[in-house]
Amino acid sequence: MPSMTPRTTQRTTHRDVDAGLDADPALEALYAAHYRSLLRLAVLLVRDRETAEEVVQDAFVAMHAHWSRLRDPSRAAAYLRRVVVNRAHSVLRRRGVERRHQPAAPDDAPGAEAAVLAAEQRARVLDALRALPRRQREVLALRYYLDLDEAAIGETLGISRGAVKSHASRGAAALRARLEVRDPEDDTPDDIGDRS
Amino acid sequence: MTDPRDLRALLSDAVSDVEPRPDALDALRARARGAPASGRRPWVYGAAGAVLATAATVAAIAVLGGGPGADGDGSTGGRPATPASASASRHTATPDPGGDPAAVPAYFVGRTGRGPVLYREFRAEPVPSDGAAALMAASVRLAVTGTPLDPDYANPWPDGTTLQKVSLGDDVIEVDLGGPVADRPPGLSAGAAQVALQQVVYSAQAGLGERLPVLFLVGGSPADRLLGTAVSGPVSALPEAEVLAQAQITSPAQRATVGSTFQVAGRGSSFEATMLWELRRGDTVVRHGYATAEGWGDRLYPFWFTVKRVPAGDYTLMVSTDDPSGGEEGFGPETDTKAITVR
Repeated sequence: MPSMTPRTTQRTTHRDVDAGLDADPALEALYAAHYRSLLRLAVLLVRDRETAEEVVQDAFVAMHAHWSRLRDPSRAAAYLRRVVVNRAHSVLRRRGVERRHQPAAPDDAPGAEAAVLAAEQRARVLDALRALPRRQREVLALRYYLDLDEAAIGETLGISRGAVKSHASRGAAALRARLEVRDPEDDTPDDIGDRS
Repeated sequence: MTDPRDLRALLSDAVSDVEPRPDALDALRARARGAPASGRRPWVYGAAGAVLATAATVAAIAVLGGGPGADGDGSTGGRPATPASASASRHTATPDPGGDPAAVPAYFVGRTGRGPVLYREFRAEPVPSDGAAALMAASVRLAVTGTPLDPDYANPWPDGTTLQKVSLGDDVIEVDLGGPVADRPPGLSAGAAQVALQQVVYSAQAGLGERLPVLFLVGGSPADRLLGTAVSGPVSALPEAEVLAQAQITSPAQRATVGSTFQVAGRGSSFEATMLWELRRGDTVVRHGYATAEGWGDRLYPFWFTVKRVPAGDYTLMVSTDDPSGGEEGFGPETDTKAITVR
């Protein structure tokens, strides 16, 4: 069982921005600092890239449109994160009902075998995450992708630290179990060939 | 994978190939352009690690994004016509001139060798910030009663067409029209009438952000005939490859002013994903090149390119599909042009 000791290291780099920004430069600075990591967070949560991109776009636009109401702009990153998590959840809920209305996503173009294999492995992890209960998925993504500590995760999700701890340990165990059902070594070229 | 470090590696690796789409920043700029820079109050922000609860932040989130337990009707902005991300509540949105400006997407009709097709524009318009349904209503209103910015496009709906109401039902968007919409205006072909219906469908979906079919009403009752075309039941979007222009410039917009080095973003579908472009001053081509879209064939894919160090002046920017047959096959290349000013 992984240790759940809080860890606050920031893997991602953040560009510090000086005072004096008005709306649009701030938008661009926030984009530079956070967009990609939030997009990747959203992919961990919703799986589908296009949906993830829209979730993150919406979060940025919502903040831009309302930042006079964001009394403490130093919380912009935390705000964005929270909106992304909430919207990702809303999208998943709604998508369950309306999936049939969505045009089918085009298949990824087949690439070199190694690339396909790597993509398969990434897909397995994303599929396994997607199969977890919502809170477990959110906690794992915030903790192990964004490296947030328990307090920050609790703040983002609006749940207690105790709940964070419990979702984290159950989620980690469930993810591990799902991934160990089928080892990457078992993938054969024949499996891959069928996809293209 | 019993070590947290493994989980970190696993999750990071799982999304290591995820990058923002090329036009992500441009799309954000386009959508944010009309939004209020309320007070233009200078502010700073800190790194993502700093997370402390404040009443103000929580209040803002409750207003904007829906709280953690909320139903998720926090959509405030528009988005390009990509499927399925809004979480709109079931409520009716009537066109309302009040509210905050937002980038409203709407489609208009342009001509190509294969006939009339749809082009998308964004317009900064006031939209009540109460969710995607309001933006959807603004998009539909613009589509049926508005005038396109680009003179190459047209609004196919007859003068006198009015929008009574746009509502969001469980699985359908209801668009209630008024005015002389039953008969086909002189000069409008049957095919063009179909495109006009698709124009409303695509605009509504772009405003809402979901691919729901549109049920057309006239004066509150389901329409059985629109623009001379029989209609029965909700109208779904036809495939992008069929009904959308295959070369579209999203940014810069018509009559935009740009710096000497500027980025162009658009959507298209062209042979081997190759989009051709040129920048003309009068009849002289001053820059040209090509861009590779993210895909081609079944739908439109984003592309972008940068035009560098252009002297100040007025220009025409053109993007076109690549037609390796030189017009021998099919209908020849499709184009989109924008008049822009370089400052």
